[in-house]
Amino acid sequence: MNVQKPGLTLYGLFIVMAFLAAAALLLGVAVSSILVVLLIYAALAYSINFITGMIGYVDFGHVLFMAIGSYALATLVSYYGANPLLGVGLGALLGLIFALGIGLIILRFRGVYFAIATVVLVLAAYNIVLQFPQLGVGGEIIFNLTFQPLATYFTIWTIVLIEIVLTYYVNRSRIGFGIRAIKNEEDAASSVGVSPRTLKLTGYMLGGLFGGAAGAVYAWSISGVTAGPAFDFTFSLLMLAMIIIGGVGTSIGPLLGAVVVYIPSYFLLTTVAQAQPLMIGLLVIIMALFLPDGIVGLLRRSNQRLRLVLE
Amino acid sequence: MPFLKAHNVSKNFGGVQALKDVTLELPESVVLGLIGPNGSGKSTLLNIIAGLEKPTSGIVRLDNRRIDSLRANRVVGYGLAKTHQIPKPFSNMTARENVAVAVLYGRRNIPSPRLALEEADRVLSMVRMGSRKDAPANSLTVQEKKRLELARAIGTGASILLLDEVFAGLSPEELKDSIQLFKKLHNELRFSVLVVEHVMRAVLSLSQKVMVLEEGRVIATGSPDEIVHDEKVIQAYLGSKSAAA
Repeated sequence: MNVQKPGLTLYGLFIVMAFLAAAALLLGVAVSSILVVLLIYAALAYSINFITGMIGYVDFGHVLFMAIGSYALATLVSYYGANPLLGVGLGALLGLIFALGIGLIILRFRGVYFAIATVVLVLAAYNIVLQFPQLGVGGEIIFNLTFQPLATYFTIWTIVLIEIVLTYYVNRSRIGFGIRAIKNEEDAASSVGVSPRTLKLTGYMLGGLFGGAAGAVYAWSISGVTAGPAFDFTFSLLMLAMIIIGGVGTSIGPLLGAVVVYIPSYFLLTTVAQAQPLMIGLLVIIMALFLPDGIVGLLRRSNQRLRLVLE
Repeated sequence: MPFLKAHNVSKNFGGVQALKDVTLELPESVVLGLIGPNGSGKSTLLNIIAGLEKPTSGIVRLDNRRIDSLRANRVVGYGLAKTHQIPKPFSNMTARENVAVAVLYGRRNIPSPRLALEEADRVLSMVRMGSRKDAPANSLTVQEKKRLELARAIGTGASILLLDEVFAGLSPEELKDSIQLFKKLHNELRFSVLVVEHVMRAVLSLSQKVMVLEEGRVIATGSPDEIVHDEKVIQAYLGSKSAAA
Protein backbone atom coordinates (compact mmCIF):
# COMPACT_ATOMS: atom_id res chain seq x y z
CA MET A 1 0.00 0.00 0.00
CA ASN A 2 1.35 3.37 -0.95
CA VAL A 3 -0.03 6.22 1.11
CA GLN A 4 1.20 8.90 -1.29
CA LYS A 5 -0.68 7.65 -4.33
CA PRO A 6 -4.01 9.28 -5.13
CA GLY A 7 -7.07 7.29 -4.17
CA LEU A 8 -8.10 5.83 -7.53
CA THR A 9 -9.69 2.87 -5.74
CA LEU A 10 -11.88 5.22 -3.73
CA TYR A 11 -12.91 7.24 -6.80
CA GLY A 12 -13.72 4.00 -8.62
CA LEU A 13 -15.91 2.84 -5.77
CA PHE A 14 -17.67 6.22 -5.70
CA ILE A 15 -18.49 5.84 -9.40
CA VAL A 16 -19.92 2.36 -8.81
CA MET A 17 -22.02 3.71 -5.94
CA ALA A 18 -23.24 6.58 -8.10
CA PHE A 19 -24.34 4.06 -10.75
CA LEU A 20 -26.18 2.05 -8.12
CA ALA A 21 -28.00 5.17 -6.95
CA ALA A 22 -28.92 6.18 -10.50
CA ALA A 23 -30.09 2.66 -11.35
CA ALA A 24 -32.56 2.64 -8.46
CA LEU A 25 -33.91 6.09 -9.33
CA LEU A 26 -34.20 5.54 -13.07
CA LEU A 27 -34.98 1.86 -13.55
CA GLY A 28 -37.75 1.46 -11.00
CA VAL A 29 -38.84 -0.95 -8.34
CA ALA A 30 -38.09 -4.21 -10.14
CA VAL A 31 -34.39 -3.41 -10.47
CA SER A 32 -34.00 -1.77 -7.07
CA SER A 33 -35.57 -4.76 -5.31
CA ILE A 34 -32.83 -6.94 -6.80
CA LEU A 35 -30.08 -4.43 -6.11
CA VAL A 36 -31.18 -3.89 -2.51
CA VAL A 37 -30.24 -7.50 -1.73
CA LEU A 38 -26.89 -6.99 -3.43
CA LEU A 39 -26.28 -3.94 -1.24
CA ILE A 40 -27.28 -5.85 1.91
CA TYR A 41 -24.77 -8.54 0.93
CA ALA A 42 -22.12 -5.89 0.36
CA ALA A 43 -22.86 -4.22 3.70
CA LEU A 44 -22.46 -7.58 5.45
CA ALA A 45 -19.25 -8.32 3.55
CA TYR A 46 -17.75 -4.97 4.56
CA SER A 47 -18.81 -5.52 8.17
CA ILE A 48 -17.13 -8.93 8.48
CA ASN A 49 -14.15 -7.48 6.63
CA PHE A 50 -13.39 -5.34 9.69
CA ILE A 51 -12.95 -8.53 11.72
CA THR A 52 -11.85 -11.42 9.52
CA GLY A 53 -10.45 -9.33 6.67
CA MET A 54 -8.42 -6.84 8.64
CA ILE A 55 -7.64 -8.46 12.01
CA GLY A 56 -7.47 -11.97 10.51
CA TYR A 57 -9.71 -13.63 13.11
CA VAL A 58 -12.11 -15.98 11.35
CA ASP A 59 -15.62 -15.15 12.53
CA PHE A 60 -18.11 -17.96 11.86
CA GLY A 61 -20.72 -16.25 14.01
CA HIS A 62 -21.11 -12.92 12.32
CA VAL A 63 -24.74 -13.70 11.56
CA LEU A 64 -25.30 -13.00 15.28
CA PHE A 65 -24.91 -9.24 14.74
CA MET A 66 -27.18 -9.40 11.74
CA ALA A 67 -29.83 -11.12 13.89
CA ILE A 68 -29.41 -8.54 16.66
CA GLY A 69 -30.07 -5.78 14.13
CA SER A 70 -33.06 -7.62 12.67
CA TYR A 71 -34.72 -8.11 16.06
CA ALA A 72 -33.97 -4.51 17.08
CA LEU A 73 -35.77 -3.13 14.05
CA ALA A 74 -38.61 -5.67 14.12
CA THR A 75 -39.32 -4.98 17.80
CA LEU A 76 -39.27 -1.20 17.45
CA VAL A 77 -41.42 -1.18 14.32
CA SER A 78 -43.99 -3.84 15.25
CA TYR A 79 -44.47 -3.02 18.97
CA TYR A 80 -43.80 0.71 19.07
CA GLY A 81 -44.70 1.68 15.53
CA ALA A 82 -41.40 3.49 15.23
CA ASN A 83 -39.82 4.78 12.05
CA PRO A 84 -37.71 1.98 10.53
CA LEU A 85 -34.74 4.34 10.36
CA LEU A 86 -34.83 4.45 14.14
CA GLY A 87 -34.73 0.65 14.05
CA VAL A 88 -31.62 0.72 11.87
CA GLY A 89 -29.99 3.11 14.36
CA LEU A 90 -30.90 0.85 17.27
CA GLY A 91 -29.66 -2.21 15.38
CA ALA A 92 -26.29 -0.54 14.82
CA LEU A 93 -26.07 0.59 18.45
CA LEU A 94 -26.96 -2.84 19.84
CA GLY A 95 -24.53 -4.49 17.41
CA LEU A 96 -21.80 -2.22 18.76
CA ILE A 97 -22.67 -2.83 22.42
CA PHE A 98 -22.92 -6.61 22.02
CA ALA A 99 -19.64 -6.64 20.10
CA LEU A 100 -17.98 -4.78 22.95
CA GLY A 101 -19.26 -7.19 25.59
CA ILE A 102 -18.63 -10.36 23.57
CA GLY A 103 -15.34 -9.11 22.16
CA LEU A 104 -13.86 -8.43 25.59
CA ILE A 105 -14.21 -12.15 26.29
CA ILE A 106 -13.76 -14.07 23.05
CA LEU A 107 -10.93 -11.98 21.60
CA ARG A 108 -8.76 -13.54 24.29
CA PHE A 109 -8.89 -16.72 22.19
CA ARG A 110 -6.72 -17.06 19.14
CA GLY A 111 -6.98 -18.99 15.90
CA VAL A 112 -9.25 -22.00 15.84
CA TYR A 113 -10.39 -21.42 19.45
CA PHE A 114 -11.77 -18.03 18.50
CA ALA A 115 -13.52 -19.54 15.48
CA ILE A 116 -15.17 -22.24 17.63
CA ALA A 117 -16.27 -19.67 20.21
CA THR A 118 -18.03 -17.67 17.47
CA VAL A 119 -19.96 -20.77 16.36
CA VAL A 120 -21.04 -21.55 19.93
CA LEU A 121 -22.23 -17.96 20.45
CA VAL A 122 -24.73 -18.21 17.60
CA LEU A 123 -26.12 -21.52 18.88
CA ALA A 124 -26.54 -20.00 22.34
CA ALA A 125 -28.14 -16.80 21.03
CA TYR A 126 -30.63 -18.78 18.93
CA ASN A 127 -31.83 -20.71 21.96
CA ILE A 128 -31.97 -17.59 24.11
CA VAL A 129 -34.18 -15.83 21.56
CA LEU A 130 -36.60 -18.80 21.55
CA GLN A 131 -37.05 -18.39 25.33
CA PHE A 132 -38.44 -14.87 24.99
CA PRO A 133 -42.12 -14.70 23.99
CA GLN A 134 -41.61 -10.94 23.52
CA LEU A 135 -39.55 -11.81 20.44
CA GLY A 136 -42.46 -13.73 18.95
CA VAL A 137 -43.50 -17.37 18.92
CA GLY A 138 -40.59 -19.30 17.45
CA GLY A 139 -38.73 -16.01 17.37
CA GLU A 140 -40.96 -14.70 14.64
CA ILE A 141 -42.01 -11.07 14.32
CA ILE A 142 -43.84 -9.91 11.22
CA PHE A 143 -44.91 -6.36 10.60
CA ASN A 144 -46.81 -4.44 7.99
CA LEU A 145 -45.30 -1.32 6.54
CA THR A 146 -46.35 0.62 3.50
CA PHE A 147 -44.09 -0.50 0.67
CA GLN A 148 -41.14 1.92 0.64
CA PRO A 149 -38.48 0.38 -1.59
CA LEU A 150 -36.51 3.58 -2.17
CA ALA A 151 -36.23 4.37 1.55
CA THR A 152 -34.86 0.87 2.24
CA TYR A 153 -32.62 1.09 -0.78
CA PHE A 154 -31.01 4.40 0.08
CA THR A 155 -30.58 3.46 3.72
CA ILE A 156 -28.47 0.42 2.85
CA TRP A 157 -26.77 2.38 0.07
CA THR A 158 -25.69 4.98 2.63
CA ILE A 159 -24.46 2.28 5.03
CA VAL A 160 -22.32 0.69 2.30
CA LEU A 161 -20.93 4.09 1.33
CA ILE A 162 -19.92 4.79 4.94
CA GLU A 163 -18.34 1.35 5.18
CA ILE A 164 -16.33 1.89 1.99
CA VAL A 165 -14.96 5.24 3.13
CA LEU A 166 -14.20 3.94 6.62
CA THR A 167 -12.46 0.80 5.32
CA TYR A 168 -10.40 2.90 2.96
CA TYR A 169 -9.27 5.40 5.57
CA VAL A 170 -8.69 2.83 8.30
CA ASN A 171 -6.42 0.90 5.92
CA ARG A 172 -4.38 4.01 5.14
CA SER A 173 -4.18 5.36 8.68
CA ARG A 174 -1.99 4.61 11.67
CA ILE A 175 -4.64 2.12 12.84
CA GLY A 176 -4.35 0.29 9.51
CA PHE A 177 -0.62 -0.18 10.01
CA GLY A 178 -1.22 -1.53 13.51
CA ILE A 179 -3.97 -3.85 12.34
CA ARG A 180 -1.86 -5.33 9.52
CA ALA A 181 0.97 -5.88 12.00
CA ILE A 182 -1.36 -7.75 14.38
CA LYS A 183 -2.79 -9.84 11.58
CA ASN A 184 0.70 -11.00 10.80
CA GLU A 185 2.56 -11.30 14.11
CA GLU A 186 0.57 -10.40 17.17
CA ASP A 187 3.51 -10.76 19.57
CA ALA A 188 5.96 -8.83 17.45
CA ALA A 189 3.34 -6.11 17.07
CA SER A 190 3.03 -5.66 20.81
CA SER A 191 6.80 -5.51 21.14
CA VAL A 192 6.88 -2.36 19.00
CA GLY A 193 4.08 -0.74 20.99
CA VAL A 194 0.92 -1.85 19.19
CA SER A 195 -1.87 -2.85 21.58
CA PRO A 196 -3.46 -5.98 20.05
CA ARG A 197 -6.32 -5.88 22.57
CA THR A 198 -7.42 -2.37 21.69
CA LEU A 199 -7.14 -2.79 17.93
CA LYS A 200 -8.83 -6.19 17.83
CA LEU A 201 -11.71 -4.85 19.89
CA THR A 202 -11.98 -1.81 17.63
CA GLY A 203 -12.27 -4.03 14.55
CA TYR A 204 -14.75 -6.35 16.23
CA MET A 205 -16.93 -3.42 17.34
CA LEU A 206 -16.97 -1.92 13.85
CA GLY A 207 -18.01 -5.36 12.57
CA GLY A 208 -20.81 -5.51 15.15
CA LEU A 209 -22.02 -1.99 14.40
CA PHE A 210 -22.33 -2.46 10.65
CA GLY A 211 -23.51 -6.07 10.94
CA GLY A 212 -26.33 -4.81 13.18
CA ALA A 213 -27.22 -2.00 10.78
CA ALA A 214 -27.28 -4.35 7.77
CA GLY A 215 -29.36 -6.90 9.67
CA ALA A 216 -31.90 -4.20 10.54
CA VAL A 217 -32.25 -3.19 6.89
CA TYR A 218 -32.60 -6.85 5.95
CA ALA A 219 -35.55 -7.25 8.36
CA TRP A 220 -37.01 -4.02 7.00
CA SER A 221 -36.75 -5.26 3.42
CA ILE A 222 -38.51 -8.57 4.15
CA SER A 223 -40.94 -7.07 6.70
CA GLY A 224 -40.01 -9.30 9.57
CA VAL A 225 -37.63 -11.70 11.22
CA THR A 226 -37.72 -15.43 12.00
CA ALA A 227 -35.28 -17.13 14.36
CA GLY A 228 -34.39 -20.03 12.04
CA PRO A 229 -33.25 -18.03 9.03
CA ALA A 230 -31.99 -15.13 11.19
CA PHE A 231 -29.41 -17.36 12.85
CA ASP A 232 -28.70 -19.43 9.75
CA PHE A 233 -25.08 -20.55 9.70
CA THR A 234 -25.13 -20.31 5.91
CA PHE A 235 -25.26 -16.53 6.18
CA SER A 236 -22.01 -16.44 8.15
CA LEU A 237 -20.40 -18.65 5.54
CA LEU A 238 -21.72 -16.48 2.71
CA MET A 239 -20.15 -13.41 4.28
CA LEU A 240 -16.82 -15.18 4.66
CA ALA A 241 -17.07 -16.44 1.09
CA MET A 242 -17.61 -12.91 -0.20
CA ILE A 243 -14.48 -11.45 1.38
CA ILE A 244 -12.36 -14.48 0.52
CA ILE A 245 -13.45 -14.30 -3.11
CA GLY A 246 -13.14 -10.51 -3.31
CA GLY A 247 -9.91 -10.06 -1.38
CA VAL A 248 -9.66 -9.96 2.42
CA GLY A 249 -8.97 -6.70 4.17
CA THR A 250 -9.17 -4.55 1.04
CA SER A 251 -11.54 -1.66 0.30
CA ILE A 252 -12.76 -3.00 -3.00
CA GLY A 253 -12.77 -6.74 -2.28
CA PRO A 254 -16.02 -7.00 -0.28
CA LEU A 255 -18.02 -5.28 -3.04
CA LEU A 256 -16.45 -7.50 -5.72
CA GLY A 257 -17.14 -10.57 -3.58
CA ALA A 258 -20.76 -9.52 -3.00
CA VAL A 259 -21.30 -9.21 -6.76
CA VAL A 260 -19.65 -12.57 -7.52
CA VAL A 261 -21.64 -14.37 -4.83
CA TYR A 262 -24.96 -12.60 -5.32
CA ILE A 263 -25.51 -12.42 -9.08
CA PRO A 264 -25.14 -16.16 -9.83
CA SER A 265 -27.03 -17.12 -6.67
CA TYR A 266 -29.91 -14.87 -7.74
CA PHE A 267 -30.27 -16.77 -10.99
CA LEU A 268 -29.70 -20.16 -9.38
CA LEU A 269 -32.34 -19.42 -6.74
CA THR A 270 -34.98 -19.20 -9.44
CA THR A 271 -33.73 -22.35 -11.21
CA VAL A 272 -31.82 -24.85 -9.04
CA ALA A 273 -31.82 -23.42 -5.52
CA GLN A 274 -29.84 -26.31 -4.05
CA ALA A 275 -26.94 -25.65 -6.38
CA GLN A 276 -26.24 -22.26 -4.79
CA PRO A 277 -24.33 -23.33 -1.65
CA LEU A 278 -22.57 -26.01 -3.69
CA MET A 279 -21.38 -23.48 -6.24
CA ILE A 280 -20.19 -20.99 -3.62
CA GLY A 281 -18.45 -23.75 -1.68
CA LEU A 282 -16.58 -24.86 -4.78
CA LEU A 283 -15.64 -21.31 -5.61
CA VAL A 284 -14.22 -20.73 -2.11
CA ILE A 285 -12.17 -23.93 -2.28
CA ILE A 286 -10.76 -22.96 -5.67
CA MET A 287 -9.97 -19.46 -4.44
CA ALA A 288 -8.33 -20.72 -1.23
CA LEU A 289 -6.16 -23.13 -3.23
CA PHE A 290 -5.12 -20.90 -6.09
CA LEU A 291 -5.93 -17.30 -5.18
CA PRO A 292 -5.71 -16.84 -1.41
CA ASP A 293 -5.72 -13.08 -1.83
CA GLY A 294 -8.89 -13.13 -3.92
CA ILE A 295 -9.82 -11.28 -7.08
CA VAL A 296 -8.00 -8.17 -5.88
CA GLY A 297 -4.82 -10.22 -5.47
CA LEU A 298 -5.22 -11.67 -8.95
CA LEU A 299 -5.67 -8.22 -10.49
CA ARG A 300 -2.71 -6.83 -8.56
CA ARG A 301 -0.41 -9.54 -9.84
CA SER A 302 -1.62 -9.28 -13.40
CA ASN A 303 -0.70 -5.64 -13.85
CA GLN A 304 1.97 -3.40 -12.32
CA ARG A 305 -0.24 -0.33 -12.43
CA LEU A 306 -3.16 -2.12 -10.78
CA ARG A 307 -0.78 -3.29 -8.06
CA LEU A 308 -0.20 0.33 -7.09
CA VAL A 309 -3.74 1.63 -7.24
CA LEU A 310 -5.92 -1.27 -6.04
CA GLU A 311 -6.55 -1.06 -2.32
CA MET B 1 18.35 9.78 32.10
CA PRO B 2 17.10 6.19 31.85
CA PHE B 3 18.30 3.83 34.48
CA LEU B 4 17.04 0.27 34.35
CA LYS B 5 17.11 -1.85 37.46
CA ALA B 6 15.86 -5.36 38.13
CA HIS B 7 15.79 -6.27 41.79
CA ASN B 8 15.68 -9.82 43.18
CA VAL B 9 13.80 -11.17 40.20
CA SER B 10 12.71 -14.81 40.38
CA LYS B 11 10.68 -16.80 37.91
CA ASN B 12 9.18 -20.26 38.27
CA PHE B 13 7.76 -22.30 35.42
CA GLY B 14 5.78 -25.01 37.21
CA GLY B 15 8.38 -26.71 39.38
CA VAL B 16 11.35 -25.33 37.46
CA GLN B 17 13.01 -22.24 38.84
CA ALA B 18 14.29 -20.38 35.79
CA LEU B 19 15.58 -17.32 37.68
CA LYS B 20 16.66 -17.05 41.32
CA ASP B 21 17.01 -13.61 42.89
CA VAL B 22 18.65 -11.94 39.92
CA THR B 23 19.61 -8.30 40.39
CA LEU B 24 20.78 -6.20 37.48
CA GLU B 25 21.58 -2.55 36.85
CA LEU B 26 21.86 -0.88 33.48
CA PRO B 27 23.04 2.75 33.63
CA GLU B 28 22.57 5.17 30.75
CA SER B 29 24.44 4.43 27.51
CA VAL B 30 26.06 1.29 28.91
CA VAL B 31 26.22 -1.98 26.98
CA LEU B 32 25.71 -4.87 29.36
CA GLY B 33 26.35 -8.36 28.01
CA LEU B 34 24.35 -11.22 29.43
CA ILE B 35 25.88 -14.65 28.86
CA GLY B 36 25.47 -18.15 30.17
CA PRO B 37 24.99 -21.74 29.01
CA ASN B 38 21.74 -22.86 27.37
CA GLY B 39 18.80 -22.77 29.76
CA SER B 40 20.52 -20.46 32.22
CA GLY B 41 17.61 -17.99 32.13
CA LYS B 42 18.97 -15.23 29.89
CA SER B 43 15.98 -15.02 27.58
CA THR B 44 13.55 -15.31 30.50
CA LEU B 45 15.17 -12.30 32.16
CA LEU B 46 14.95 -10.32 28.93
CA ASN B 47 11.29 -11.29 28.48
CA ILE B 48 10.47 -10.19 32.02
CA ILE B 49 12.10 -6.79 31.52
CA ALA B 50 10.28 -6.36 28.20
CA GLY B 51 6.91 -7.15 29.83
CA LEU B 52 6.39 -10.38 27.87
CA GLU B 53 6.38 -12.41 31.08
CA LYS B 54 5.59 -11.54 34.68
CA PRO B 55 8.18 -12.28 37.38
CA THR B 56 7.11 -14.68 40.15
CA SER B 57 8.71 -12.27 42.59
CA GLY B 58 10.97 -9.24 42.46
CA ILE B 59 10.60 -5.87 40.75
CA VAL B 60 11.78 -4.09 37.61
CA ARG B 61 12.15 -0.33 37.65
CA LEU B 62 12.87 2.18 34.94
CA ASP B 63 14.10 5.32 36.67
CA ASN B 64 11.63 5.31 39.55
CA ARG B 65 8.65 3.72 37.85
CA ARG B 66 7.82 0.07 38.29
CA ILE B 67 7.38 -1.58 34.91
CA ASP B 68 7.09 -5.25 35.87
CA SER B 69 3.29 -5.25 35.86
CA LEU B 70 2.93 -3.49 32.49
CA ARG B 71 2.03 -5.27 29.25
CA ALA B 72 4.69 -5.44 26.55
CA ASN B 73 3.16 -2.73 24.37
CA ARG B 74 3.04 -0.30 27.30
CA VAL B 75 6.68 -0.95 28.17
CA VAL B 76 7.59 0.30 24.69
CA GLY B 77 6.03 3.65 25.62
CA TYR B 78 8.60 4.01 28.40
CA GLY B 79 11.45 3.64 25.94
CA LEU B 80 12.34 -0.04 26.02
CA ALA B 81 12.35 -2.18 22.90
CA LYS B 82 13.24 -5.83 22.45
CA THR B 83 14.31 -7.74 19.37
CA HIS B 84 13.29 -11.36 18.89
CA GLN B 85 15.72 -14.25 18.98
CA ILE B 86 13.95 -15.72 15.97
CA PRO B 87 13.12 -12.72 13.78
CA LYS B 88 9.40 -12.00 13.57
CA PRO B 89 8.92 -9.63 10.66
CA PHE B 90 5.44 -8.57 9.59
CA SER B 91 5.85 -10.61 6.45
CA ASN B 92 2.88 -9.15 4.56
CA MET B 93 4.52 -5.73 4.67
CA THR B 94 7.64 -4.22 3.13
CA ALA B 95 10.73 -3.47 5.19
CA ARG B 96 9.88 0.22 5.45
CA GLU B 97 6.29 -0.53 6.45
CA ASN B 98 7.62 -2.83 9.17
CA VAL B 99 9.68 -0.02 10.63
CA ALA B 100 6.86 2.49 10.11
CA VAL B 101 4.66 0.45 12.47
CA ALA B 102 7.32 0.87 15.15
CA VAL B 103 7.60 4.60 14.46
CA LEU B 104 3.81 5.05 14.62
CA TYR B 105 3.30 3.06 17.81
CA GLY B 106 6.57 3.71 19.64
CA ARG B 107 7.16 6.57 22.05
CA ARG B 108 7.73 9.25 19.46
CA ASN B 109 4.22 10.46 18.83
CA ILE B 110 4.34 10.49 15.03
CA PRO B 111 0.73 9.73 14.02
CA SER B 112 1.06 10.37 10.26
CA PRO B 113 1.85 7.30 8.15
CA ARG B 114 3.56 9.51 5.56
CA LEU B 115 6.00 10.97 8.08
CA ALA B 116 6.45 7.56 9.71
CA LEU B 117 7.45 6.02 6.37
CA GLU B 118 10.00 8.80 5.81
CA GLU B 119 11.42 8.20 9.27
CA ALA B 120 11.45 4.45 8.57
CA ASP B 121 13.59 5.09 5.46
CA ARG B 122 16.04 7.06 7.59
CA VAL B 123 16.29 4.29 10.20
CA LEU B 124 16.73 1.65 7.50
CA SER B 125 19.64 3.49 5.95
CA MET B 126 21.16 3.81 9.42
CA VAL B 127 21.22 0.01 9.68
CA ARG B 128 22.45 -0.16 6.04
CA MET B 129 19.21 -1.57 4.70
CA GLY B 130 18.32 1.51 2.66
CA SER B 131 18.52 -0.37 -0.64
CA ARG B 132 16.09 -3.03 0.63
CA LYS B 133 13.40 -0.75 1.97
CA ASP B 134 10.74 -1.74 -0.56
CA ALA B 135 11.45 -5.47 -0.31
CA PRO B 136 8.63 -7.59 1.16
CA ALA B 137 9.80 -8.63 4.63
CA ASN B 138 9.40 -12.33 3.85
CA SER B 139 11.93 -12.07 1.01
CA LEU B 140 14.76 -10.83 3.27
CA THR B 141 17.77 -12.98 4.21
CA VAL B 142 18.36 -14.03 7.82
CA GLN B 143 20.88 -11.25 8.31
CA GLU B 144 18.51 -8.70 6.83
CA LYS B 145 15.67 -9.93 9.02
CA LYS B 146 17.89 -9.46 12.07
CA ARG B 147 18.73 -5.95 10.91
CA LEU B 148 15.03 -5.31 10.44
CA GLU B 149 14.43 -6.36 14.06
CA LEU B 150 17.08 -3.85 15.10
CA ALA B 151 15.60 -1.15 12.86
CA ARG B 152 12.15 -1.69 14.36
CA ALA B 153 13.55 -1.44 17.89
CA ILE B 154 15.36 1.79 17.01
CA GLY B 155 12.26 3.01 15.17
CA THR B 156 10.22 2.99 18.38
CA GLY B 157 12.53 5.70 19.70
CA ALA B 158 13.72 3.46 22.51
CA SER B 159 16.56 4.60 24.74
CA ILE B 160 17.10 1.06 26.02
CA LEU B 161 17.45 -1.86 23.64
CA LEU B 162 17.05 -5.47 24.68
CA LEU B 163 18.80 -7.55 22.05
CA ASP B 164 18.19 -11.29 22.02
CA GLU B 165 20.90 -13.01 19.99
CA VAL B 166 21.08 -10.57 17.11
CA PHE B 167 24.52 -11.85 16.17
CA ALA B 168 23.72 -15.57 16.11
CA GLY B 169 23.69 -17.51 12.87
CA LEU B 170 25.77 -15.05 10.86
CA SER B 171 28.80 -15.89 8.72
CA PRO B 172 32.18 -14.59 10.03
CA GLU B 173 32.08 -11.81 7.45
CA GLU B 174 28.52 -10.81 8.34
CA LEU B 175 29.43 -10.94 12.03
CA LYS B 176 32.34 -8.55 11.59
CA ASP B 177 30.09 -6.25 9.65
CA SER B 178 27.33 -6.37 12.25
CA ILE B 179 29.67 -5.69 15.17
CA GLN B 180 31.09 -2.68 13.36
CA LEU B 181 27.59 -1.41 12.58
CA PHE B 182 26.47 -1.86 16.17
CA LYS B 183 29.45 0.16 17.46
CA LYS B 184 28.70 2.95 15.04
CA LEU B 185 25.01 3.05 16.02
CA HIS B 186 25.84 3.06 19.71
CA ASN B 187 28.23 5.97 19.21
CA GLU B 188 25.57 7.96 17.36
CA LEU B 189 22.48 7.18 19.40
CA ARG B 190 23.95 6.47 22.84
CA PHE B 191 21.22 4.00 23.80
CA SER B 192 21.71 1.59 26.68
CA VAL B 193 21.76 -2.04 25.65
CA LEU B 194 21.18 -5.34 27.36
CA VAL B 195 22.54 -7.89 24.96
CA VAL B 196 21.96 -11.64 25.30
CA GLU B 197 24.46 -13.46 23.16
CA HIS B 198 26.13 -16.78 22.54
CA VAL B 199 28.69 -15.42 20.15
CA MET B 200 31.52 -14.61 22.60
CA ARG B 201 33.49 -12.54 20.15
CA ALA B 202 30.55 -10.18 19.80
CA VAL B 203 29.73 -9.87 23.51
CA LEU B 204 33.31 -9.33 24.61
CA SER B 205 34.08 -6.69 22.04
CA LEU B 206 30.83 -4.72 22.52
CA SER B 207 30.07 -4.82 26.22
CA GLN B 208 31.48 -2.57 28.90
CA LYS B 209 30.20 -4.98 31.49
CA VAL B 210 29.27 -8.65 31.36
CA MET B 211 27.00 -10.64 33.62
CA VAL B 212 27.09 -14.44 33.67
CA LEU B 213 24.04 -16.57 34.52
CA GLU B 214 24.11 -20.23 35.38
CA GLU B 215 20.95 -22.17 36.28
CA GLY B 216 19.08 -18.96 36.96
CA ARG B 217 21.69 -17.38 39.26
CA VAL B 218 24.23 -14.64 38.65
CA ILE B 219 27.65 -16.27 39.10
CA ALA B 220 29.85 -13.38 37.98
CA THR B 221 29.73 -9.74 36.94
CA GLY B 222 32.63 -7.68 35.65
CA SER B 223 34.49 -6.25 32.71
CA PRO B 224 34.87 -8.59 29.70
CA ASP B 225 38.51 -9.11 30.66
CA GLU B 226 37.67 -10.11 34.23
CA ILE B 227 34.95 -12.46 33.05
CA VAL B 228 37.10 -14.54 30.72
CA HIS B 229 39.53 -15.18 33.58
CA ASP B 230 36.91 -15.90 36.22
CA GLU B 231 37.20 -19.43 37.69
CA LYS B 232 33.47 -19.93 38.10
CA VAL B 233 32.73 -18.82 34.56
CA ILE B 234 35.32 -21.17 33.10
CA GLN B 235 33.84 -23.99 35.19
CA ALA B 236 30.31 -23.22 34.07
CA TYR B 237 31.29 -23.30 30.43
CA LEU B 238 33.97 -25.99 30.32
CA GLY B 239 33.55 -28.07 33.48
CA SER B 240 35.87 -28.21 36.53
CA LYS B 241 38.51 -30.49 35.01
CA SER B 242 39.54 -28.00 32.34
CA ALA B 243 39.65 -25.27 34.95
CA ALA B 244 42.18 -27.27 36.94
CA ALA B 245 44.34 -28.02 33.92
